[in-house]
Amino acid sequence: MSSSARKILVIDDDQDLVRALGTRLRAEGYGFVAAGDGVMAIAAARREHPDLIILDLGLPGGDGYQVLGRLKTLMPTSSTPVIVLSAKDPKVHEERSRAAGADAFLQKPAENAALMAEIRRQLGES
Amino acid sequence: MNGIRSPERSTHAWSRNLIGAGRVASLAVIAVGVLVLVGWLLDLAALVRVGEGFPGMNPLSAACLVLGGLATWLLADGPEGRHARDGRSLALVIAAIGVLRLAAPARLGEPVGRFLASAWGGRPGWVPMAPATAAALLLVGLGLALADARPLGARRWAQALLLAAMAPAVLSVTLYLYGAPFVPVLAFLRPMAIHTAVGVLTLSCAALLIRPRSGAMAIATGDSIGGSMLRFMLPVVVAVPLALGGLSLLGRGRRLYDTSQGAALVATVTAMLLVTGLWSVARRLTHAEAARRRAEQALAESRLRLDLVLRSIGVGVWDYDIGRDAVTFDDTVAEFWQLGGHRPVPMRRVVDHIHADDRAATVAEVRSALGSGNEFAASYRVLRRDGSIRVVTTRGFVTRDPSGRPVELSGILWDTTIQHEAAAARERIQQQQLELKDQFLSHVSHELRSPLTVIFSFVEILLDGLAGGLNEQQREFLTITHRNAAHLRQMIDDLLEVTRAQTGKLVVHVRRLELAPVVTSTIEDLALQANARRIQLAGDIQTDLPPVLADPDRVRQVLVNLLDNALKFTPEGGSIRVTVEPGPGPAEEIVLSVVDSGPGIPADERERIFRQLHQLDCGAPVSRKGLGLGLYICRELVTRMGARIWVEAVPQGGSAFRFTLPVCSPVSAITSLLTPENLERAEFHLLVVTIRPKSRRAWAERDDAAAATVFEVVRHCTSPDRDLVLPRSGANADAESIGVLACAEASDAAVLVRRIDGQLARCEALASARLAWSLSVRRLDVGPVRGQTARDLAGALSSGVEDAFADLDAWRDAA
Repeated sequence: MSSSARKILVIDDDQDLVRALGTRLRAEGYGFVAAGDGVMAIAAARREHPDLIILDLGLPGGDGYQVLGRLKTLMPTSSTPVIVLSAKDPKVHEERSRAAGADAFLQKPAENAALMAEIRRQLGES
Repeated sequence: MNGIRSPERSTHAWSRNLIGAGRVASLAVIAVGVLVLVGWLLDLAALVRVGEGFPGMNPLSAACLVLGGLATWLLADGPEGRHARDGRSLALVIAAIGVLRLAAPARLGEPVGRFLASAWGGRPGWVPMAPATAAALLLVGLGLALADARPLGARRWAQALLLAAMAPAVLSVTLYLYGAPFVPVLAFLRPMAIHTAVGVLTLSCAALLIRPRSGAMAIATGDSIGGSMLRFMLPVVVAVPLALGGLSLLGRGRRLYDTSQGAALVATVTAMLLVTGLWSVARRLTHAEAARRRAEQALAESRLRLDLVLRSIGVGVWDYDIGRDAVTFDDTVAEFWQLGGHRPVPMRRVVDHIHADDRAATVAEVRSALGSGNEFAASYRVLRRDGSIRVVTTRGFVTRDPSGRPVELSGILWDTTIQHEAAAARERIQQQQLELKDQFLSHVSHELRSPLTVIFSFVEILLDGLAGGLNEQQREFLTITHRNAAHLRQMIDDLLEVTRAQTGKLVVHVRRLELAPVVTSTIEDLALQANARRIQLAGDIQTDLPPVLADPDRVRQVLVNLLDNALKFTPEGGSIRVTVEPGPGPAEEIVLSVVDSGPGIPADERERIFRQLHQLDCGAPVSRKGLGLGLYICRELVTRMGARIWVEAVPQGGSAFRFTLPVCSPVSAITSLLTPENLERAEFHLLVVTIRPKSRRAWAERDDAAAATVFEVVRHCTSPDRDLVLPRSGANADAESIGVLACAEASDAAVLVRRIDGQLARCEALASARLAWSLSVRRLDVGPVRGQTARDLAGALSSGVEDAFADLDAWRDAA
């Protein structure tokens, strides 16, 4: 039941943020994988079988929603919880992401505590 | 500029004075008549004949003078006066007496005189009525009787008769003046008694004076040059012949010349005087004519100039004769109105050319000007034959008759299509600019958030010791950094909210809300910050508060904003208290207050702090000031929730920021649906939706999860920004099965009901299968809104909701 079994895939093109999230997640005991664009993201998902995906909508090429859609329809990841972490306006995009299958939506910058709590919730941990 | 009134013919006061003089004269005549009659009755010769040897006044004449004076008095009130008919009858009597005397022997009335003589004994000798008197009385009588006859010609004849009546009297007076013998050779030369003559003259004058605006008198009393000439010449024309006659007699008496020489002298002098008079009159008339010609010339010139101006700038002129329903207009206007054919045209044809949408407003504007105004202005569209639409602006003024009734509407019109299009284009551009601004700020804030996220993440990582231990100073510096990053985030959020507020995109999702948990959790969130500055932060929430109708996120936002401000401006060691209690007034509301022990806000700032970009100048450190948007956003949010926010001073010197929230009740729920936009729609319906399980047992056994499901179902089916699930009074779980929705069209209602039904079906599958749901919908008619506030209207409509509750109770309580 150690949380080190849990692997989280972070999809975001912001290298600095990926670095920060990585540090944080590892410190909390999670495995961590990152991808910087849509193609890499799908490939990483297939390869790594993450337990949770954190997705930024503002990917290069503007295909954040496309990636979300594919993640939710492709076999290995269709049941993986996806937390959307985005700088976009939640009033428009929260509904839209949920409709596209996202399990949670957090607006950047998210409180560290809030993000961790959501991760735990989505992984079914207390 | 006032409307134009037709000028009065003569001033009112002047004619009143003349009528007054007429009345006085008629009284004098009555007095003379009465005195003579008294003389006859009481045998006073002095009254009957003025002096020894003079002929006396016949008693019938005296009676006629009394009657005549009375008739004039009665007619003085005017042709429609109460006694006018009586006056005319009296006048006819006088005329009849005159006719009788002229036709009958001189001894008319002698039996009466003899009777009087026998009754009182010892009379002065009988005096017959002179034929001159009879003629005069006849003329006066007819003149008075005809004074108000309908045909204009008759009235002029009446005045001529009255003037003619003066002739015998003037003759008699002249005969006396010239010392003519009393018993002449020719009957008509026998003079009237002197007082008869004077009486008749006065009576005729009185009769003419009481109608100063009729016929010949109008000219005599008028302002015009004719009137003033008449008034100047009349005394001359009367006095001069009399004087000359007298002088010639005097001359003959003194044997300066004999009869024929005297006559020649009189004739010559008269002729010379008349010629002089005539030339003087002609000269004045010529000058007047010249002045008139010059005025006409000037008028023609200014008309030409006006025409030139109007044609050059494309302004048309039109006139509407209200009485004849005829509109005349020039070619420019014909072009605008696209009216060919004959002119003038009836108003109806003009109105037909106004665009249908603008017709009612334009007609209303014209009506109101005709009713009570003087000017009117209107703009309307005209649909032209080639399909294009032009906007026309018209201005006009009303001409009224002396009684105030409108007789004419005159105006101009010109093409303002370009101005209208420019105004519309400006609005479009403004809207576009707001949109662009919104998009820009959205984009900017989005971009700004990403690096901010990185800053937050690493600062938090460092503060949590994940990159190694920290000494005191490092920790302190990192904490400061974190606080400033939070500050930056708040400013970005504020910027975005403000733009949304301005472009109308700021929405609130009101719902039934329990305040206690929201307030408590917000206070907890800020406890850390308060402790860091050793400020006491406490909440004081009254128990048993009814739920409010508000947006929980927004309530939190406002509260956080107010607490943030309080924390900023309260010095270390101070205190902040949050209270939640029912409002004092009749309107059901809850008041939330944030009371701090800071420096307070001066009275003249208390309104301005809610404006954009206002920053308080009270010595708080610069880093704490922010963009100055926070309170502005708070006010926008609170207003959209149907509430108010304000600040008061606290006796101990701090500030109390307070805002209200409406208690959730059917009335407040319906009020929030009656937005101005909704009420202006052509069609607008309110639906009361009741959702309950099909079986009563299931209802009794329902659990919170089921209730929450129902809540969610209704919530998800309503219009995006208003989902309203209604409580009765108090927080009753029953309540969550009744909601009120607003929809703009009947078809929307059907769609909504179908959606709710669909959702209910999903609930059956997802939630407890035992509970099968039933949906009933009741439509509320909003009805006419004139003059009612949204709250009044909501009050009237809330009975629809009460009925739904009653139905639910009835269903539940049925065995």
